[in-house]
Amino acid sequence: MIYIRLFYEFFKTGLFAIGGGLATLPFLRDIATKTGWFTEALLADMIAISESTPGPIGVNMATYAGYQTAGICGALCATLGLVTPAIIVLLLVARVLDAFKDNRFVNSAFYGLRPAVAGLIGAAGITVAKSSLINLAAEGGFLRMLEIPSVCIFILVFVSMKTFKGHPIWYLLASAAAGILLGIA
Amino acid sequence: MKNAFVGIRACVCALILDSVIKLAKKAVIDVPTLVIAIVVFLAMCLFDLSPIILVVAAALAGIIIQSRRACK
Repeated sequence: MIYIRLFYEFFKTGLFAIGGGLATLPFLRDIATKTGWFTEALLADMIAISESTPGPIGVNMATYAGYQTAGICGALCATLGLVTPAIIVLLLVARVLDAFKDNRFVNSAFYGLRPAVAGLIGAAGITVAKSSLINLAAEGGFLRMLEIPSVCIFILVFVSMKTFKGHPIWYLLASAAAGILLGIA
Repeated sequence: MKNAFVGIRACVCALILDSVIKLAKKAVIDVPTLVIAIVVFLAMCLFDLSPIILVVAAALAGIIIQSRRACK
């Protein structure tokens, strides 16, 4: 049953993707490689959409993947799967929030979880970089494989984010424009 | 349109790198957390592991490390 499969895969993501923001990224990458519901290049585009529109990436991706594989019902199943763990956990934790907040075990678990999430997102970032900054089909050493225009945009965006801060959407718009200009030239 | 997404994907790589650095600055506070971050990163890059296993292992590692500290 595709509906149950969609619910199950995104339920796992919702249950274990702790940390918010891009924390769902490694799990979505895992779903992409395991099921083929969406490609890794599409994952990069979805990050861009999620960074510039309301709604977290996990929900956007679940809705998209569910719709692509099984229509509107599929989209509903995948999205429900993603948010169900959060709802259950919140209902449970809300009752005992004060005890939970200062619990030694919870704090110790998060002590280990936080760096793990950074490592997981970093590794997922490598996958995205492979599909966007590097052309593995090119021959003649590592330098030849680099997509020079993309790498230039990457470095420029990173440096200017460190210098000017600002909302991601401006960087995404500028990069889209740069992509078009470099493509014409 | 295709070229626009080439630019956007490159930008997304920078966004991810930025968010990883921000997370790491908050999370990596001593040697054990540094080790956890590096081990998880390498494990994910080199082996086709499910992130679930690594999340559970990291939480357990956190509990074990902190409780050993409490004993000392």
